[in-house]
Amino acid sequence: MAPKSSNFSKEEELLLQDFGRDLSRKSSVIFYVHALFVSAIPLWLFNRIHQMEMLDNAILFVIGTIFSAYFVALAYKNNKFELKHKIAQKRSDGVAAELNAKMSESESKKISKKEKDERILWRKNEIAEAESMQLAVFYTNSLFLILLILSSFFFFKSYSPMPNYIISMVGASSITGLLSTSSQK
Amino acid sequence: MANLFVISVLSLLIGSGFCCDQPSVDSSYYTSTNLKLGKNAAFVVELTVKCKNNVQDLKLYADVNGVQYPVTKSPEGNNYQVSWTAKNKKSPAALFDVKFFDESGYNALKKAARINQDANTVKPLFSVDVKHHGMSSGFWVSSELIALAAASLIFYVVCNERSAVIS
Repeated sequence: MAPKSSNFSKEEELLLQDFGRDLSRKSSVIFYVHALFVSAIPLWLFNRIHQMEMLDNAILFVIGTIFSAYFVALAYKNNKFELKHKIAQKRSDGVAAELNAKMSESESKKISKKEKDERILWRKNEIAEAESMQLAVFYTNSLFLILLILSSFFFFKSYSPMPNYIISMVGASSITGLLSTSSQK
Repeated sequence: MANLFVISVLSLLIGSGFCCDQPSVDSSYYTSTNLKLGKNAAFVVELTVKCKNNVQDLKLYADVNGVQYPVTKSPEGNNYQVSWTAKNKKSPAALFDVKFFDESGYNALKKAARINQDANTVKPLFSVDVKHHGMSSGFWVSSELIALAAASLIFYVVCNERSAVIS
């Protein structure tokens, strides 16, 4: 692994921020809120269908929700990173055409090619960021919920509620997180 | 003459504390609706009876469509319970008028049945309405299967979208 260096230029830092794996503060907050919400949905399921009392199992539910939220948020992050590059490549021509259409001929002559390219890159990054986040959240949520339904109501149907909850939540969130670490080349 | 005799006996009984005067009833009931749990419909009526003349340990009988059932009493308080079953075919969705008789009323009911007199002439101590919704076995597809099918459909759509982006 390359040693960390703080001698990056402003452009390089911007590139790292846009194309790196790390999330911005805003993205992190969005991901963790979504992850907590999705991990809390099974509580209603286990309370109403498996008849697990909320107060009696409060500690288990809190630990399970936090554990699941961590892995779901990890899956969001990995899926978003994988999708962002692909979306950016696909939207490249469309964004360039959009920006060229917006700019008038005189404006187009005034600004340099470098600035035009930067604007296109910035806009492309903005669109790819939003679209990849939404698709990553949608995909991860549907994968997590389908795994949870399968494990809780089919594979471990005959288990008593508490082991059912533990195995289903740990299993579904872990598998979701694990599958997000794969990459297609 | 006979009526005078009955009235005088009743007055004696009320006065002596064996007859419940102006009962106030607080009732709840349960009827089975799930055909998967059993082919016979089960009915349970629970009630609390308070008499104006403060009679305790009433012996009650319930009459449901001409069939009498004994009513059990809890060891403490004035809580009573009666239960019965009926074949599902004989108990469609209906409103049952469950009549409650004390001992004298029950005896009068039996006498009316013996001499082929109309049972409706015997006035009950009080009655409780029990609404039975009928029994059903529910939807033929289980709800978890429907949930799984819906989740699978959504996952399929999302996978298609993702594949279109990644390819």
